[in-house]
Amino acid sequence: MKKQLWGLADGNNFYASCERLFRPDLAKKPIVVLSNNDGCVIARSAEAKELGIKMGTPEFEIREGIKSGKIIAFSSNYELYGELHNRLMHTLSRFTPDWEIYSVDECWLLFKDFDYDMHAYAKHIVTETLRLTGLPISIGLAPTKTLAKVANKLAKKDKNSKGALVLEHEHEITLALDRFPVEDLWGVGYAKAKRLTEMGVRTALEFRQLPGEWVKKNFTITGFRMWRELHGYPCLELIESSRNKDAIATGRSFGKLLTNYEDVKEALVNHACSCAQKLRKQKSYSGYLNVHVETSRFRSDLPQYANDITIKLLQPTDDSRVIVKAALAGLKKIWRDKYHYNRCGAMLLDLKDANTGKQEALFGGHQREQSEVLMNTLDRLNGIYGKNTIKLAAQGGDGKAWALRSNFRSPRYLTRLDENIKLKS
Amino acid sequence: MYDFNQNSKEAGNTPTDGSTSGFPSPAADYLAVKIDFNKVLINNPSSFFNATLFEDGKELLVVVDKALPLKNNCKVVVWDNGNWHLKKYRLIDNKAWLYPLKGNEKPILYNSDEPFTILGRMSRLIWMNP
Repeated sequence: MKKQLWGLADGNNFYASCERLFRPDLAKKPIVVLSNNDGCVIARSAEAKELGIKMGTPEFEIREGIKSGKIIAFSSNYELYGELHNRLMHTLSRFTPDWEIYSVDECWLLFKDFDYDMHAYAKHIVTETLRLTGLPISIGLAPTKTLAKVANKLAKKDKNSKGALVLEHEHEITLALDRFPVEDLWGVGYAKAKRLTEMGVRTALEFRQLPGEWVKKNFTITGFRMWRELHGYPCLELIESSRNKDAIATGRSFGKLLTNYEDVKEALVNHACSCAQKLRKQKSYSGYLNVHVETSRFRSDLPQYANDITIKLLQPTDDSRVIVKAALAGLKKIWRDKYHYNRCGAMLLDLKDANTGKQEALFGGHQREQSEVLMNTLDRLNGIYGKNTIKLAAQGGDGKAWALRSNFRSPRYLTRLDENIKLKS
Repeated sequence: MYDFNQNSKEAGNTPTDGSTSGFPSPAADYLAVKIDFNKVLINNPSSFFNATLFEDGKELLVVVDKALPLKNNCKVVVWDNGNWHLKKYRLIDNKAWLYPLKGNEKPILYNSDEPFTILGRMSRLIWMNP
């Protein structure tokens, strides 16, 4: 059998690197990226990690640092990160015909029968990706996905590796696993880690040395698969096509607490429309809709309320108008006056392939055809001219009372011409 | 799998697509792919940036291609003193200097230890309001 190696390539501090690409002056500064509504830290540069800022730190805890300029904060700019994600994945896909997008900044690369010096090739991938996209990455190569994850983590930690590490031979793998904490292994969660530590298993190598039968019995098939992968037997394959989602949800907290029904209604309509659009994109129909509202857990000084309701749609549909009507019927049932609402959301359930959905929707053939034409046109126009160019009247205007707070958002350099780089002559 | 086809969206019906009710169009046999400005102006979609420069009443769109190697006398978009600028890249005695396009401002020595200060090489310059 000819050799094969798995590679895991991922962006170094991806969101922070996206921001730095357009602000080279922030090269060595601590950067944090905040969640929707500027609530808490969701990404950090290496310098911010060194300052001890943890993931999930609330913004108010580092507000002084931000005000004094010691910490540079950005509101999340998903349009920018999304476009740079596309570029990163497109660039990485040039290095092998077999690849799989794993997350916003991670990509699996499979190298089958490559006759190259893989150490040199891994370094080439790192430097070429940086040159072409401006985004720094790390890559780990090994005979299995689990080992490639280990190699990737070690590549990040070890400065001498310059972002690329290949664990190809048994002695390299043994050495790496011996210095790799078992709790950092891919697939080892809090409970597994605790149990292993209690047993005196501290490193990945010690885990690998456990008897296979015992692992299968005590850590189920997932743990056994991981154990085998650590021995160099590939158990996880390349997933070549993205599976349609089983449920589609959109929910957000508001920029400020809301007490007015009309404001919450407008937010919910927009979330429902966003769900419907995602539903049509994956060519599915939905049979049920769930809507929820809630007050803020962090405002214990205010009365608390949270509720949700699931509505059966009369016929499976992907029509925004039908879904919005159902969402509003649901909201009326769970709405209570005099609360300060912090969040609402919609979720489409019981998703099925559009053709199956159409068959199940036995009646209203003509109406369905009309709906299909209208929704297609809506999506096409919004695809060409920008999100919400054409929208339902209930979605409201732009001065939204519920709009997200994003006080530190950088320009959407790559997706809006009026926000592109402005040159000084 | 993701769709990485970055071509422009094709427009809808053309007058020659055979949807007329009278005689068939003699042009129908000569259908060709339309000129796509994305393809003409952007050679490397994953490495392209755009920037606007206002100069002498002109609005100029600067297309930057990060994939292009820097060469003597090419124009580059450079971060300097808190802003992006368009400058000329000149190699003198194996050192890279960045010259202003106009005026008497002193050139700056490019520090290759800080590669991010150069966004990339200008590949096109489009006059937006001729």
